[in-house]
Amino acid sequence: MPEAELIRLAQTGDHEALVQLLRSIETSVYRSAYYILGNEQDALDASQEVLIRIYRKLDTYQEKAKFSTWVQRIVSNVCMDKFRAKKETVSIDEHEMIIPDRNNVEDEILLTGLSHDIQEAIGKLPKQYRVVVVLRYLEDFSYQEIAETLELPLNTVKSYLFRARQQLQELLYDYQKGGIG
Amino acid sequence: MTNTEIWEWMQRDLDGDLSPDEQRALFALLEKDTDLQQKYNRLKSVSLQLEQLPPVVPSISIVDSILPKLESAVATPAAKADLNAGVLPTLEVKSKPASPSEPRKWKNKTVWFARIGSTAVAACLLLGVMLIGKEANEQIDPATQGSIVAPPAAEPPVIIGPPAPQPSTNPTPLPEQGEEPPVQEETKQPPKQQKKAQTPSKPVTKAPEPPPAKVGQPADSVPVMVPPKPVPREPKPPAFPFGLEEKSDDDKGKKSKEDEKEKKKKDNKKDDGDDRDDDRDDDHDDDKEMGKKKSSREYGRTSLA
Repeated sequence: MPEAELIRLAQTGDHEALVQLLRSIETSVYRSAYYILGNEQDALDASQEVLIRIYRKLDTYQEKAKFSTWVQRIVSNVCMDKFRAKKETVSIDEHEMIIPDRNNVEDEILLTGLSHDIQEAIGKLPKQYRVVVVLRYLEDFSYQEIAETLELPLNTVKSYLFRARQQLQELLYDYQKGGIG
Repeated sequence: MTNTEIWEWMQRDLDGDLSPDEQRALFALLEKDTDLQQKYNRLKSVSLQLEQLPPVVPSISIVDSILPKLESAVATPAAKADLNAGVLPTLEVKSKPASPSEPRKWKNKTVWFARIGSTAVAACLLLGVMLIGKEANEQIDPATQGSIVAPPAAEPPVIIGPPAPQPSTNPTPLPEQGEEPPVQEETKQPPKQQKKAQTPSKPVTKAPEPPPAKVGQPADSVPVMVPPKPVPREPKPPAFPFGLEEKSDDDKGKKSKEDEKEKKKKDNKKDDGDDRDDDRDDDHDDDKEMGKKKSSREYGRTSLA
């Protein structure tokens, strides 16, 4: 069944259509949350919250925007809330996140190769850059769609993405240097 | 073209945002500058790595994990309907048309309440007047009857003399039954033991007068003793046995009682001999009555006890 039909049925109160719709977006929601937040547990919590919000607010969705854009907007909002909550609770979390990541990298770098470098580099990006990168590469959004999702000007989105890529390139270059050294 | 512009074109090329002409111009610049070419290669490798990020899949089905919550939220449509109902300020719309109608309703209600209340008050007044009129008519008749009834209450002293024998005939069966019936009555009607036990004890002592006296007075042992005095009063002052025993009942000092006995004996001796016969007869009667009284008193005491 096409996504538009599922959305229509879900909005009319079809519970099965709503569940099916949630299942269809479950993976993409989790993937974005995982790369934005950087760990599985936070990604699971955020994904649950995102799906619950979608479940409750599906009536507010209008076909003016793409459904995926609407969903990713909720994902980014939930992830931003998670970032704020983390900052307010424990400021040491950033350091704790780095240390286990390095240990994990040491354990798994042989298996995953450069993917872990890029994941670690993504984790070091500013939040806004991270979200833009995730939307661009994981959701394959265009500049315009990212701008609509994040409700940002188009030039701002470009700026965020270009700077994010530049920082990633520098970080990865440093890793390569360290690995070679 | 500045370095920043070249850097931007490189970034846009990675996203496929350059036109074919722009792309050709960029590649021409990169061929000339190795540093720019190295930068472009690094950015392209980063972009490739981002494109090749491993597909992450949740370890558990998130939808299944939240389904219980969603279903416990009482079916989405209902919840949504409630939310919509709560969000929609339809109350304002309803309040506008309802506001003018409510005052009218209230006015009508108040008018109706006033009418009903006034009619109810009028009906109550009429009923009250009717009842009062009836009662007044009824009270007038009983008043005349009450005047007839009143004399018997006042007559008893007059009747006391003659009726005495009549009640004595009536009470005679009573005293015989007097001691027994109360017991039967007591057994029959235990809840009214005191009242009924006292009532029979009084008629036993004084057949004629007690009924009216009982009606007027609350049946005590002391008032029961009062009537016997008038009976002997007619012939002469109260018989000493009564006084003695009554005084003894009153718990007065023994010395004072003995003095009174002696005085009474002296007075009796001084009286005529005819009177003595009458007195003896009376005494005999009195003794008999006293025996009954004693029994009644004892019974009364027991009953009172």
